[in-house]
Amino acid sequence: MNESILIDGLRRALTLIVRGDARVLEAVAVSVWTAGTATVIASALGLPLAFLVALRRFRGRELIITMLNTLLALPTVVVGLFVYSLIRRGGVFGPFDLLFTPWAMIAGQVVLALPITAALGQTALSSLDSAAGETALALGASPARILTTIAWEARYGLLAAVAAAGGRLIGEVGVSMILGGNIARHTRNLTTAIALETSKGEFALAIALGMILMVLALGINFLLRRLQGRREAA
Amino acid sequence: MSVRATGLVKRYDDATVLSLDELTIDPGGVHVIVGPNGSGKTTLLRLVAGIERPDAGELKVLNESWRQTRARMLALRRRLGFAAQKPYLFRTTVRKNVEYPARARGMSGAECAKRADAAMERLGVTHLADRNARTLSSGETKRVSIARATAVEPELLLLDEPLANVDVKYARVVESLIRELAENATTVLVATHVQDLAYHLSAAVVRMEHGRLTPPAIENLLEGELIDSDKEGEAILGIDGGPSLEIATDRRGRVRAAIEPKDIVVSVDELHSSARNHLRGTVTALEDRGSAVHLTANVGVPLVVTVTHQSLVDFNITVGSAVYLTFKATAVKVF
Repeated sequence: MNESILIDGLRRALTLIVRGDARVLEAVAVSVWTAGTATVIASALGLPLAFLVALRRFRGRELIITMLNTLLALPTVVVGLFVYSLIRRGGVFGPFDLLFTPWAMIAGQVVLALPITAALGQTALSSLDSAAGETALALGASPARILTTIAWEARYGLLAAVAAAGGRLIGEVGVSMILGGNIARHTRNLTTAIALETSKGEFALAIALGMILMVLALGINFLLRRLQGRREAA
Repeated sequence: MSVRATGLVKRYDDATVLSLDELTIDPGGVHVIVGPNGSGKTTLLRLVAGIERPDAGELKVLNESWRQTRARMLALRRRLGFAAQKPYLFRTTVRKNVEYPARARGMSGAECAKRADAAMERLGVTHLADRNARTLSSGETKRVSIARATAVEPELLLLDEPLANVDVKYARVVESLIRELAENATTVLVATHVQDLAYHLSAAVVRMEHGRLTPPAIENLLEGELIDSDKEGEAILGIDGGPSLEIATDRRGRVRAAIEPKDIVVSVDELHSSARNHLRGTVTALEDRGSAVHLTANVGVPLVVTVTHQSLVDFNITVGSAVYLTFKATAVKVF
């Protein structure tokens, strides 16, 4: 019985993908747009933080590292709840009317991804031979050039941090559900659509969405493995 | 002065790794710091290069201090060249590595390429130009790091163990490059643990042990010209301003050489022995060193000899005595 549902679902799912079903394409678009934007923002904020924590010694540095590592394991629903409390009507950011918009999802996903880009970026920079920066310094590089040199030397590790953040965001459901509200063509992404279609008994659609999500997640993880391999080889 | 250090101290955790009362490196020429591993040579070079900061004392590099504005420190760094003991090559091509200091100095792309080409050519790494620098052997890495340090013709070049891991053929190349640069207004400061290499490169050798300067362990350091002798495996060393010695070597040309004080025999009359060198001179100084006496005799150049107290008494040798110094051709070590 179960097997026949799965096989039947797979067959119909392939048809939906090949035909370019609108519901499938919309969910893909929302997923890629929100997770992609959030990854870019989390990288723009998290990687400079990674540089600061990895290369400078200041009061509170250890605390930041501990916090980042703790936040890495934060459940997505907790992040969703936290951001919800900020952007709901009556919350600090209530007047911006963000709740149940893609931007609310992006905000929550940034909170989710920031510790990943910052903590993994910091690990990548800290594991880089200190001789890299010293060599740039001794060869007469300006402070800005020293930073770009260090970023270049740690590039595989930094890109792996970005890929890990993207991988986490494409597959998360808690933040998207709580902050996006699962509104069709607006905030319904792959994961919330799968949850909905499964509960409706629309297995074929759910499986089609799941297959696409798997391909995306696999692609990101494949990239991640390659970057880590390069980093170890270099 | 190229380098002047006064009361310079560097500590790691609580261990003092460097403590120099006074060190001066004059401008121009090759200068060598020699000492065993862990003697503080690398720390000294890193302080001079401005990579590390001293915990105490004064350090002037090219008459400038490292305690000044960022802009002036950067300007000072750009007058230096540095090749580390364990060089770090950037994760890119050899060419980009060698171009790096020229790019850091804002030179044009064409100028960077020209300088990199010349530097790679000199160090024999041109064929590696497009290779990933992280895939080189340790000897190749060393040569690329020296090419990189010399591409911008620094006023002060700091080389930490420049010949470590470099094979014999390229060791000669590096040596001649060091000499060539020193003749062209670059002051070269080399750190090495190999005493023979130190004296081979320069007579200006300072010795370090346990983070401190110690007196050179070498006595009777001579400079001169090696010319052919009529005997196989031997040569005549014409010492600058001094006598000629018969020595056992295949080398020719200008060299530095030394004779151990304990390998020289002092006598009042000329000895008839198999030793090839008999020099007549006058005792100019006697210095008591506990169990032995350091006798200095002028034979055209001053030579130090260790003798026992009893010998001085037996032969009635005092300052002003005429003596013969006798030593074998093999007692003269050529660097």
